[in-house]
Parts: sequence; structure tokens; C-alpha cells
Amino acid sequence: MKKEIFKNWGLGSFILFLTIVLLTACGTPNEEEGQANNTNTNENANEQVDNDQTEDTADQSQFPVTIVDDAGREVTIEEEPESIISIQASITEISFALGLGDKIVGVSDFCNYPEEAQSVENVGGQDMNVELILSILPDIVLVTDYHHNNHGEILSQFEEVGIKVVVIGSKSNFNEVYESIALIGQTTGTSNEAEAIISDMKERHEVLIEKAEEITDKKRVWVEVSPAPDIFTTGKGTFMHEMLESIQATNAAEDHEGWVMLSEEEIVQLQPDVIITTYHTEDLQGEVSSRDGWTEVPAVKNGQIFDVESDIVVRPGPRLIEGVETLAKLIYPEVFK
Amino acid sequence: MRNSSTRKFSNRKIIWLYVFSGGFVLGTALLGLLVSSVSVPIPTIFHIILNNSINIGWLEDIPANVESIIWNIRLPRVLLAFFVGASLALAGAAFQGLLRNPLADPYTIGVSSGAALGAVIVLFFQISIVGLGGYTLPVLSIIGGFIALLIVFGLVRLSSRSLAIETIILAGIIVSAFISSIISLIIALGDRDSMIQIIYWLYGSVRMRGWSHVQLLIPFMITGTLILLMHYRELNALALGEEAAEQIGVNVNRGKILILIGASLLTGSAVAVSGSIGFVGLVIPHLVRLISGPNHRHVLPLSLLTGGAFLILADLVARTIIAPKELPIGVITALIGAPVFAFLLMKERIGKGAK
Repeated sequence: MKKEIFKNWGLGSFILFLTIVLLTACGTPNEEEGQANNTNTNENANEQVDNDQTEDTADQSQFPVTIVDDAGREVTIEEEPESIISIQASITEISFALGLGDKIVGVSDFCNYPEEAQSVENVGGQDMNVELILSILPDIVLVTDYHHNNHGEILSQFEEVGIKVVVIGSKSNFNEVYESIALIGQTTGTSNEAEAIISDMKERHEVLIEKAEEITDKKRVWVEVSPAPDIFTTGKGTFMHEMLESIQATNAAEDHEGWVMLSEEEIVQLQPDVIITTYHTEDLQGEVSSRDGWTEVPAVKNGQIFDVESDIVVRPGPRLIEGVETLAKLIYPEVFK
Repeated sequence: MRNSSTRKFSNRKIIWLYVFSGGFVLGTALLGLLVSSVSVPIPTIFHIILNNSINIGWLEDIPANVESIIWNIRLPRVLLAFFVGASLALAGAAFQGLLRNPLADPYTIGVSSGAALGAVIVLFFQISIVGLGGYTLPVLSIIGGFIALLIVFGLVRLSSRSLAIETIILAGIIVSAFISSIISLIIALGDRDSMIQIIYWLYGSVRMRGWSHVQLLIPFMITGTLILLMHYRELNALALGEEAAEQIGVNVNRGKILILIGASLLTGSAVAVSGSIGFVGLVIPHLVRLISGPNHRHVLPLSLLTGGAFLILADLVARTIIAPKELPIGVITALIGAPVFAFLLMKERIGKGAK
């Protein structure tokens, strides 16, 4: 008898659980969507207002300045920041390029460029060393949207003690990189320097695009961002794709979206004319040509296999332009001498 | 005469055990507050804590960032480590007593895996039950843990009549393995970001949690602890076997269900805030029982204190040993816990052989 009660009770609780799950599954998304829409429209409205304001003030790089960061947060910076912590490699590169090297007092695990960045105190990466950042007490900390989404509570602690938090979102095309350079420029009172970097990048890219117009026989380029056996490539919506398109090369993986893994069979079938890798191996030609069934691939037959430094083609910083130039010279050496 | 003198001796021993455990907790808590990458003097630490909690302060001009470091980062972290360790050890002690099984703990019998699945579902699908808000995470974890427990018991009942030690552990392992594969499936279906987030969470950690997580844990921790501490008599009686317990007038089934609910509350809420942290629930009650004797009246509270202190210490090691980087706390507890448990097993066997 007791056993039965126990069993029934177990069954009952299971059914109860299922109903709760179902109820919540049906109930919440709509509500969340509704909220998200609301905040989105608010954010957009704010952004427009602030863009108007900031454009006036930023030209004279005068503080206080109010910016809207990539998370849609409105941040007012009262004075020109004297100390800055950057928690992402690309942000660090941009900051150094803006001439802020002396003001950088903390960087992340992955900040390897420029060399000076490596001697700056390390304050962690995706997981920040919160105590260290609080004890350094910088004027500004530049974080990514990962930190904003996952460690909101900690970011508000930074703000409580007077550290300004600016979120720099993830980027996937050149225009977005220009935007984040401009944003970091506004935030740190280096708008003029930011303008100079952006126009330099744009001009150099323009030169490449013009030269590429004479190319009639487009080459098909296969990109590998991780070595065999798990070969990942860069599809649409990546810097690599945008770069290849702009120099009149065809991304062999253009049918795919983002970073994807393809099987060797699929890759061989794409018959690339050039193979670009972004990982360093001792004997790259040997490694690729020794793969089974790759000998008939045009790129392997003609020895068109090159390695480029990963940081200049995937990291959303000022060196991306070097990335395009390098790719152009490797793929069409006769056009881009 | 002799009897009463030995009882007096054991009473005194128990008192000393409580004093020692309490001191262990305070000592590790102080160490946890003191040792870190940023050094803050002890008087300042005391000032900040007393000033924020009961408004007694004697120092002036404490910089806001130092105050934030102690009050918003270190203190909640130490408290969370204590609560999680205490919950897991107490739940382990209860499971071991209830099942008369030295190998039972939240991990071996599948409750932790169930709770982890509940939490992963909440984290991954961003579920929020109306009216529960942030408490959705611990509630679904607890429910997940409890369901896993029911499935394990169902399996045991279907396969054999008695709650045999081996059957329970086997059923626990089967259920754990199945649940792990579901979690792996969820991870595999997700994108890179959520994959990293879930894997880090599964490693187990009490870092970067803050007061909000302490707040999530406390109501369940208190309820579970009270339920278990109030039922130490049932646990003692069950040590004699279910029939014997029934004969001396203990309502076995009611006690059992309440104890299971209490232990699930503790495990589920601990897993919800800190991820999977193993071996605390297995080793700590063993150690305590070795010293205090089998009476659950003392085993339960002593496990609570020692487990909490142990996890504060493990967290301290995890964040200092390769500073400025941190190890997952689950790695530390397993590195310390597994050899200790192996040693206990051997010692137990040698002890039995000598008899």
C-alpha cells in the first residue's frame, strides 16, 4: 500500500514537472520578445540623439562626452581618461594604434600585439581578475559583449567605484571595425587619431580594390583556420570572406555561413586554386599535399599553399588592412607587386 | 560507573570536536578573505565587514574600490564556498546514513547530474518561470536532482527488492551517464559561446558569483539543513535496518521521504550556483564519522562545518596556486578527495582484517 502511494506520488511529481516545463516553454518567449523589442526601440532612439550630440563635441575632443556603446548603454565620460584597461586583444591593438599605449594599465591574456602590450599587467580574459581591476582603479575599462552578457553584476560594481565601463561588441566586417575604432577614439579623446587610422585603412583598401578591377580570371581560394583533421574554414560573414571578395578572389566556402568545419571530401571537390592557412606548421606544403586524395587539387599541384598570420586576418583591429594586402600579394602576385 | 565516565569523556570529546570544526571554519574564512592577488590589511577587512553588516566602523577613508573588493567580491565568494561545501557534505552524510551505504553521495547516486541537467536547461534555453524569476535556476536544479533520484530508486526497485549497496551505485552510474550524454547533446547543438559557458560552469566554480548567488542558495540551504538536522533520529534508527527501525517506533517511510527531499534541496541548490563539485559529499562525512563516531546527531552538523571549511580552503588553493589564473574548484576537490577516499577505503579494510 505504502509502496503504491510512493509510486503514484513519484508519477504525480513527474507529471507536475512536465506541466511546469510546458507552461514555461509556452509562456516566456513572447514576453521576452516583447521586452527585447521595447528596449531595442529605446536604444535606437537614444543612439540617434547621442550621435548628434557626440559628433559636435568629439570634433574638438572635449570632455565631458556622452557616448552610446555597443551594448546600447549611455556612458558619460567627464574627463579625458588617464588610465585604461582593455580586456580584449583587438581593443588593445586599437588603443595602442591610437597612441594610448602610456595610458593602458591592464590587458587580457591574449593581448600579444604590439610588443609593449605584453609587458602590461595581465587582468585575465573572459574571466576577469576582478580584484586586480578594482585595485588598479582605472578611469575606463573597455570590455566585450561577452562580459556584458555574462558578468553584468561585476560591471556594475566597477561603475559603483567610479570606473567607466564601455562595451565594445564583436565585429564581423570592416565597417563595424571602423565604428569601434571611432567609438574607442571618442571615449578616450583621440577622435582625430581614430579618423586618421580609419581613412588610412579605407584608402589602402580602395587602392587594392581598384587594382583588383583588372582581374578577369578569378581564383578560387580555400581558407583553413585550423589544421587537419578538424579543418575549419571561414564562410560568409567573416573578415576573410570580405577580404577575398574585395580583391576579386572567390571564397571556396562562400556557400557556408561563419566559421564551419567541412569534411576533406567536400574540400577536395571544391578544387581550390590557392590554399591559405592561418596556423603555423613546420612543413606546410608537405602536410597538405600528403593528405589522401589531395594531389589532384590545383592548389596542391601548383604549390599555391601559403600561411598568413592569423591575427591580421581574424582580429578586428587596425592590422586587418595588412591582412588584405598580404592576401592580395599571395593570391595575385602578378597584379599586386 | 565506568559507563558514565566514558560517556562524560565522549561528551567532552564531542564538544572539542565542535570547537575545533568551528575554529577550522573561522580560520579558513579569514584566510579566504586575506589571501589574494591584492593585499588588504586585516584591520581594514574587519572594518569593512563590520561596517557593512552591523554598521560598526572605526577606520576612516577606506577607498571605495578596496571596500568593493572585500564586500562585493571576497566575502560573497567565501560565504558561497562555505554554503556549497556545507550543503554537499551534509547531503552526502544524509545519503550515506539513509542508504546505509558508504559510497553514497550526491554524485554517485545521480542527484548531482540531474541537478546539473536542470541547471543547464535553464542556462541554455534561458527559461524563467513566471513568479520565480532568478530562483528558476535553483528550483529547476532541485527538481532535476529529485527526478534523477526517483529514477535511480525506480531502477533499483525494478532490479532487486532490497536497496543493495551495489545496485544503488550501479543505478546511479547508469542514470548519471545517461544524463551526461543529454548534457553533451545540448552542448553539441549549441553555438560556441554557450558551449564555452556551459563547460566552464560544469567544471564547478564559486568565482565571480557575487551576492546574488548567495541569495539564491540561502533559502534552500536553510530549509534543507533544518529538515535533515531534525531527522537525525530517523537516520540513527535506519542504521539498524528498516525493520528494526519500524519496530522501535520510527515512521520509516515518512522520515525517508523527508530526508531525501532535504538532501535533494541541498544538492540541487548547491549545483545550481556552483556547478559540479565532486568528492566533498563523499569524503567529508567519512572523515567526520571516523572521528566523531556514527551518531548522526553529531555527524550531520560536524559534516556541515567541515565541508564548508574544506571548500573555502579548496577555493583558496584553486585561485592562488597558479595565480593570476584560476583552476576550477572541482579539480582541486577531486585531486585532494580521491586519494583521501582511497586511503580511507584501505584503512577500513585493514581495520576490518585486524578484527
